[in-house]
Amino acid sequence: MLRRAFSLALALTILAIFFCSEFRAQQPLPVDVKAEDRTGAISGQVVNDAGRPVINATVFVRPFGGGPVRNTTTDREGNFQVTNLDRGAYIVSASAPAHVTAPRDPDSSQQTYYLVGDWVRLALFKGGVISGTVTSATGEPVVGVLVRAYLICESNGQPPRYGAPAIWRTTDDRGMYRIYGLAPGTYVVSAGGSSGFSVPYENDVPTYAPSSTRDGAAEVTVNLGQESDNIDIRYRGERGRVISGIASGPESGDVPGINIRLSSIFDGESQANSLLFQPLGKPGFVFHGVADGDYNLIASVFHPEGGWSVSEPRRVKVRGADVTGIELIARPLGSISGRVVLEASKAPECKDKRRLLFVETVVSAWHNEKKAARDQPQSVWSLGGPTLPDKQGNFVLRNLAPGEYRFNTRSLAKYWYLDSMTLPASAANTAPATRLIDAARNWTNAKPGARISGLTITFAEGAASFHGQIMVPEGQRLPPKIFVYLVPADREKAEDVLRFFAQKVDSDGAFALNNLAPGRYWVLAKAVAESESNVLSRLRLPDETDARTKLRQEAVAARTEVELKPCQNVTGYKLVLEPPAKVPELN
Amino acid sequence: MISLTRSTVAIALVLGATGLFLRVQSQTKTIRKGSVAGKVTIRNKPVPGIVVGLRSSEPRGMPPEVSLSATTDYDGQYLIADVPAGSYRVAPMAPAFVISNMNNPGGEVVILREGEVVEGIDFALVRGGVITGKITDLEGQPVIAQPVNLFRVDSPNQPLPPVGPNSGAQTDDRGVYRIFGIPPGNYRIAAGYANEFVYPGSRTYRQTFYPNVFDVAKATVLEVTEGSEALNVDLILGQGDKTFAASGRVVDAETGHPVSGVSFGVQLIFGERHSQFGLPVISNSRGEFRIENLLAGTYRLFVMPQRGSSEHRSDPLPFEIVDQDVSGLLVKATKGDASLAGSVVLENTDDKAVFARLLKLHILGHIQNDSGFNPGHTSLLSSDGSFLLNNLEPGSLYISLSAPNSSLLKGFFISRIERAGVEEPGLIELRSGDQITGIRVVVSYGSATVRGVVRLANGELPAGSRVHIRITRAGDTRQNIRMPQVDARGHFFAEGIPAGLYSFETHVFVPGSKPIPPVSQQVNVLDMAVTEVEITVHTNTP
Repeated sequence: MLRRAFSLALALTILAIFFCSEFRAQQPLPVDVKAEDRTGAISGQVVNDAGRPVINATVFVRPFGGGPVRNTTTDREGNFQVTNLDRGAYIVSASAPAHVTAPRDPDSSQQTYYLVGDWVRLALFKGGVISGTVTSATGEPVVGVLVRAYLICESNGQPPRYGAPAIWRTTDDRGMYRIYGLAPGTYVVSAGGSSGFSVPYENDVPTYAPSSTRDGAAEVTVNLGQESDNIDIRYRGERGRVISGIASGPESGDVPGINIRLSSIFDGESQANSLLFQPLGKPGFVFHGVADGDYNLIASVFHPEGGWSVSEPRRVKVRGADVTGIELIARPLGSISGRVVLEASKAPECKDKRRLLFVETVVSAWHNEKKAARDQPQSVWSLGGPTLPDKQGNFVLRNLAPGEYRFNTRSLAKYWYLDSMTLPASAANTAPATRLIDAARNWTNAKPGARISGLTITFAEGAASFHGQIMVPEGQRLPPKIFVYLVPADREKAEDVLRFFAQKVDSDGAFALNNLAPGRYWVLAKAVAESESNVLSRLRLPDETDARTKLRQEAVAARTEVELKPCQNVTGYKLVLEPPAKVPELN
Repeated sequence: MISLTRSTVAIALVLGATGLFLRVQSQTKTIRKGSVAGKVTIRNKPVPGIVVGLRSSEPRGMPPEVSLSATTDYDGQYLIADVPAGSYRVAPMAPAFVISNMNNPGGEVVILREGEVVEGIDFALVRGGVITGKITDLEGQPVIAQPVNLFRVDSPNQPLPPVGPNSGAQTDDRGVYRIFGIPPGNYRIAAGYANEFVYPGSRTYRQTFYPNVFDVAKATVLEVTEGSEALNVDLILGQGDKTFAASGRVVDAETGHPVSGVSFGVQLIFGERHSQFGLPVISNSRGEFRIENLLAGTYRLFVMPQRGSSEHRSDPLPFEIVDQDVSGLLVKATKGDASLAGSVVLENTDDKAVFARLLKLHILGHIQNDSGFNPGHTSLLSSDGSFLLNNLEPGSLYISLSAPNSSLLKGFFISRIERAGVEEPGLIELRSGDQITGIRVVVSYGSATVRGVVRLANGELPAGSRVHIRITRAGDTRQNIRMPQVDARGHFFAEGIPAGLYSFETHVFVPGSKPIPPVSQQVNVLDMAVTEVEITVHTNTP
């Protein structure tokens, strides 16, 4: 039996690779007819927080927007190289056991993609450790019990953005456990509970450190490279309840079965996830070892050809008794299709500039987080991943859960900018078909299983760039977090959210805004609170009209205007930092 | 960053679908439930607080439909109640201990009838041994998340796998490992990968035995006794395992044009044997590919077809890595041009629900030819049961049923394959360009259950006896229809068998006794019913 477990692990490793190849098989890398028939390498180095090389780190090179992933490992100097890459943009990431990636600042000007020929420096930090001993009521070691660490709060004080899954280990013959490679943040630790593995205690309610249910759980702070030891658990061994039912979904010969995810809800946040699998042809699912509390159940099915089907989230309350007979029906998620249009410029300044490639325009749909049903787990939103247009520029955004969406894309060619995003009004079902809706300024509502078409994303040639330096009066220091904003000054563009730009200023005061639509702008440099993040993305939110109006007032008051000509590169611009909060209130 | 995280989650969910985290309980209503009870002892003394688990044991490798457990009381007694009829494996879940009966280290098989009360499923435990140490690389840095393998000296090729999931048989962030619950015996310990387990394409260490030797014959034998603890069994990895890359191009064998987007597999040859892997490598738009992290050795590279994208395949291309990178490999990929179309039919039932279940299966075609290797072609079944196998290369085609999860196959058997109304006795010969149609795959569905008991003519089965039963169709003993599990009491159980006349060949092994000749007994198994079978074995057959 033990041997089988080992071969299972091995088989799974191999299976994982086969699955990856299956996965990539559905999304053949689009080949842009205009792309040069040229290949090359991306190389770089992986270092730790002390700048020392990380040896034997695995480096992944993934085409921006999806496609086959290449990987390699770093050598003794931490260096790596991936060759034979087709031309295009790539996401480069690294992982190493016990290490975590540095949290990325969403406002940083640091690029998130790399082109063939680039050299990349990646940082991996030694993660934190939680260790301790699990003992029974009589003080005996509890052997072979699953201990899980749940991240409940990231180091920035926010709940985990993508619903961090638990990291787990089993106790050894002395009852000791050691969970390593933890991202910094606040954790709770539990022992026991449903796992799906053949381990003892899986029918028990999890006991949280030091010896309680989730309500009394101790919060453990984890720092990079440090060990939080003596996180001991006095195991209670209380028999848990059962949640059971039947899941169904669209059937197809390619589907091995249905995934069922149980998330516990604590303080309104979805936390501990258990994942079960109901194989096709099996009559149901059962979660054991469930403690009293509130839960969300969701069923999902992946169809190799048709994408994901997901059930509506089902709220379950467990109060001292088993909950049985739950029915979950997975239904196909919605989609939005459209095309990318490239408009070349006739301006003489823009002659002979590199053309933007469809393969470089990744399109993603972002859901309205304010209105998003809290009980729709993040994992479901995450299914609606970015997409790449085909040779004609056509794309389909699939796997969209019901909700409101806006769209994001960016230009990877220096002289191209995002000009507009529109949908026929009929697609949004509000007006005659001929009228176009600004899909950047309005949410697009996707009903369950919706098939929306006609999203047109226009990139235009003629993008300008605006680089410069923030000046502060002598003797003063730069505030820690400054943003440079561009606010459209042309009257007809005043409401165009795509003409609003924001960029974080580097620590030395340098700033660089790229892929800007030509036109007149008010320029504003402003210090913001250190807790503020995702500034540009939030500024462009359809419902943030008031924030944009306020910003316009501040920018107009600052009285700095620039005009950016097509394909113009402004460099060395000196910008004075505005003193904070001197804006007259408008009634 | 967002796109990266999203894709990662999607892949994680797909992996979830492979069925590692399986546990599903049957919803079937059973009227009378039985129970299993026994006692757990250590050195003849009862042990309280041990969890004893009971899981469905058939079909093997599948998620258990039933998973129950009970904890021993102060007298070491456990009672697992409310157990539906079925075939189970019962075992203490005490990872630091081993069952002292080495015949059944994985626990006892119990075949339970409806409402049956089974007692005396006792377990004598001994505390297993512990081996612990630290693994470092040449720079003295800890080697993290490195699997550590134990090899029994009496079966040197089989590593004794880790105890428990994700546990001590892997090093932690300090490079420390701790393997516990080791059955008493003699062991060698190693980390890194033997050739059998090398996974090209990712960083691996060459297999190194304690104390830092490559040659298994020079490895120290560690004696593990009840409750023993071997400390400081340390290893240094990374000596002499430089890795290399192999690169080249893949072209269409006929046109010479580069073929992009094909996946590769590789065979690693060692002596007469080889191991085979899919690679995370795909050819680019110029047909170029590069495989990293190969240890020195002899390899065969081949193109692996992907249903729905590239149907290209290739003959294995041999290459050898000695002490440098290999480049310029030219792989010639072909697409077979033969095809075979047909349909599946159910021969022994008109039940539409059964046919609907059949349609979830795939037709799998394996071609045997001189190339020595072929990963098979699959076709889904359309709603009328028809299928089409495309891009077939010349050779001998063997047709079977497959499914995304093997529980779907339960009860379905191909009884024969017909071509133009005539039974095809063996493999179907394919030549280049053949477009074969009208193949009928005749499938029978088993709805019968067989339940029985094996007895000795002169009394009970002695403790430690082992019984094997082979069920074959009467008159055709080549194909096993089923090998039912038999418990210590001689009880057995098998379901999903098509009605018909079968031969039950029974082998009984009694420890310390003379070999007992096998007994064959013909049984007529009836549709939709439970057929009771009693097999009597005579120990003193003349």
